[in-house]
Amino acid sequence: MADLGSVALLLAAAVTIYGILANVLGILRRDPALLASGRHAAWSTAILMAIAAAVLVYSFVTHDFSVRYVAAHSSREMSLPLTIASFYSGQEGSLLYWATGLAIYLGIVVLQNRRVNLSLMPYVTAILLAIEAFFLLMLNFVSNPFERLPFTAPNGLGLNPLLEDPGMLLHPPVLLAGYMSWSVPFAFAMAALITGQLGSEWIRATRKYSLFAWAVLGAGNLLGMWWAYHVLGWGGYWGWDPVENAALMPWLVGTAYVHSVMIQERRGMLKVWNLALVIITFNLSIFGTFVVRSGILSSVHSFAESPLGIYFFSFLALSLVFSLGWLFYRMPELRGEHEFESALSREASFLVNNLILLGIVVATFWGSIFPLVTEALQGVKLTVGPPFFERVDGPLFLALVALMGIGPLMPWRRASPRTLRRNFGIPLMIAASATILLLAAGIRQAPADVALFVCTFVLATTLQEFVWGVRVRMRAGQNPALALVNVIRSNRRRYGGYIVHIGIVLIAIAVVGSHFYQLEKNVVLRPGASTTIGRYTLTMGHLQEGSFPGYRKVWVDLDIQQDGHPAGRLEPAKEFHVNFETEPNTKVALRSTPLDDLYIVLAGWQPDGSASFFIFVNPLVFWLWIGGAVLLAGALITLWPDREPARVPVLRPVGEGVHVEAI
Amino acid sequence: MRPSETGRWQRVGLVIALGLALLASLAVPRVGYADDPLAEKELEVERQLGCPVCTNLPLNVCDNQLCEEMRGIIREKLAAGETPDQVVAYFVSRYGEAVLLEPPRQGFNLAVWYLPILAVVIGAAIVLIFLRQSLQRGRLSAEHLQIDDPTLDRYRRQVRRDLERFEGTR
Repeated sequence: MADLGSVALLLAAAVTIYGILANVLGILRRDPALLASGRHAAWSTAILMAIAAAVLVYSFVTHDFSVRYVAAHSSREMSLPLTIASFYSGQEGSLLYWATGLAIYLGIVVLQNRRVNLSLMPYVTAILLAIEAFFLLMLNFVSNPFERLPFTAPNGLGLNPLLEDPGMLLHPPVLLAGYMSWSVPFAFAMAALITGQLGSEWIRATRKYSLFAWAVLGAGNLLGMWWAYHVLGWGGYWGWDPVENAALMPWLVGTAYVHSVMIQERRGMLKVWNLALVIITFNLSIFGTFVVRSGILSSVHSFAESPLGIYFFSFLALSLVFSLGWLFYRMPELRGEHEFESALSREASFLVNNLILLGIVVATFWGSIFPLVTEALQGVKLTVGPPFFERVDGPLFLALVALMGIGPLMPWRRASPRTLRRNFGIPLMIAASATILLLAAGIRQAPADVALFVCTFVLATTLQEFVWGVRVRMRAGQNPALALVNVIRSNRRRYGGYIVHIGIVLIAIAVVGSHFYQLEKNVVLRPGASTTIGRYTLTMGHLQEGSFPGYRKVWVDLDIQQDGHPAGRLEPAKEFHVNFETEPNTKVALRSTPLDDLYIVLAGWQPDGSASFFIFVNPLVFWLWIGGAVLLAGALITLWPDREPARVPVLRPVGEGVHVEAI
Repeated sequence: MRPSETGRWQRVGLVIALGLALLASLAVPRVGYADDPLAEKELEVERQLGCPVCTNLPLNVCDNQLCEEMRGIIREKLAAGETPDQVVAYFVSRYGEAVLLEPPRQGFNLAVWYLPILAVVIGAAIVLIFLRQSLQRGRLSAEHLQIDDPTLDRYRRQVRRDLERFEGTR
């Protein structure tokens, strides 16, 4: 059966290359038949890749341990969902997942655009097929998931237990899908550059595609945070690990793009800049896809190293030269159609937004590769860890949040002092009162107070927009709930964007709370002993051990008291999985409330029955996940397809000789 | 350039400088938190050090054997009266500079902090210059289009009023 997969991959490679040729020749010879054939090649690739992916899933589900990849990443003991998730737990499978995703997405894009963007589509198709061809090259000749073992293994090695978690079912595929999705805006941008159709057509065509990619990549990052928090057991959700940074960077540049593109839509300015942003985002996405696998940056993800790096860096270099080359070639044609009219305007605030976002990306990139730089230049091994990123990126993020409150209330073109007073007066007062309350409540770390002042200000400006919209409609006699729904529906892009902003503010508040007010304690407890942290008191029960199918488990039961009242029992544990006995798997005990999370890790134990714990109280982390959900809801509202204009039946027969335009 | 304009750019510069100063003041290290001063110092040391065998995991949250031992050494040394800096220096002499989660601030290492700051400053300069040039170009073309006909003033005023009202409602 696995051989069918190999054949599908080979065929897909051939069809992909044919598709590129058909599109290019079709363009050169202006031959519609060849172009149609190129479209069909895109669809055939999608079908072939779907077959290959289905074969791999089948091999996993039937435990076909004659396939090396299946034997290395699954075992008979694993549950069905995890067995299927093993698909993307290694390098070969995640490449296949990426390539299958791209092929199917390309098929959908071709289908959606079969009657529109006709002059761009052949180029878009050829470029996406070229990206696909690179992945197929890797899959066929460097990293084939269907490679056979010389024998059939009786059982597989199983999954790395770190990955045996529900988060594993979601985080990798969503993140990879996010990386993959940026190919489409990139392909449209390149099509625009190559054809010289540099107007708003490609921007309009890619508006939803880039928002979609942005949302999926954002979801991938959020799920990664969630997974890290629940599984890795170091009390936090973001460790500034190089692989995490690699996932964050394209999202930040993508964020810059979805904002600055609005200036081009509204005012026809910043064309070069927008193209550059799409190009950078795509290349950072490729970088992110491969940095996990290349092993050049040491990382918690380095369970998956491989010799693939060199191919990827070659591809990256080629793609950069190709795309930036076209950008420079078209530079003279990319003049803006308008000029800025005031430094106090929406356009100008977007410029500052881009500056800060790119600043964060530069700092993050530089910090991530700095150890490589010093090692190459000076032969010194160094670590650039969380303290660096917090110090450098933290203030920049705060500036970005502040701008999120100012920018949306800046009118396009120029602001007058009166509108500024009107827009910012109430939010500033609300933020000031909130800060006074916080100070009175004992929140007195200056950076936290500044950050929370900014967060309340942004929340107030954003909510003010909704209140104004709702009030106008209520004056027209609508009830408040209906008015709110109608406000959002009237301009889903604008209000969806505001909802995303609210999500970001909630995330920012959670980050401030958990960063500045985290409580932490490393303790050794004997059975019956207690320890207190914040408003919680923990009393140790007994150290226990048990055997379960596939793993051995050591755990401790802890009775929790919150403010002196019993609040249930938590069981932090370590699991020792078959084949991975030397890497015990931490099972974090977590009690989450809107105010704070009690987070307990069983760190070790002694023969005398005592055990050591890492205990954290992480304030407000609850709101991180709520903020993430709000952010995605906002993105979904923005992305939701517009209703097609209703077709109205013709009531009166049309007289002879009257020409009726299409509806 | 008109004098009032120089003033405006100075003000913009001042605001940016103040903003940067504010941001810089935020870049202070996190305050540790524990219920006794020794534990506080322990955390302070542990947060500066990374696990030497796994990747970049701060010592205070790493649960392998080596880190456990390192935490024991930290506790002993602090209890014996050594300062946190001395304890950190001890681990650097033993494991090399890579054990520090942030490189020592000297020589070439300073580039890790200064390059991003330089990038943001240069970026800000580019944005400012671009904005200024664009504003000037816009003004020139506006002057070029200026039609001096007093009878049009009435309409200009009306347009300005309408625009302000429009901006006010949004």
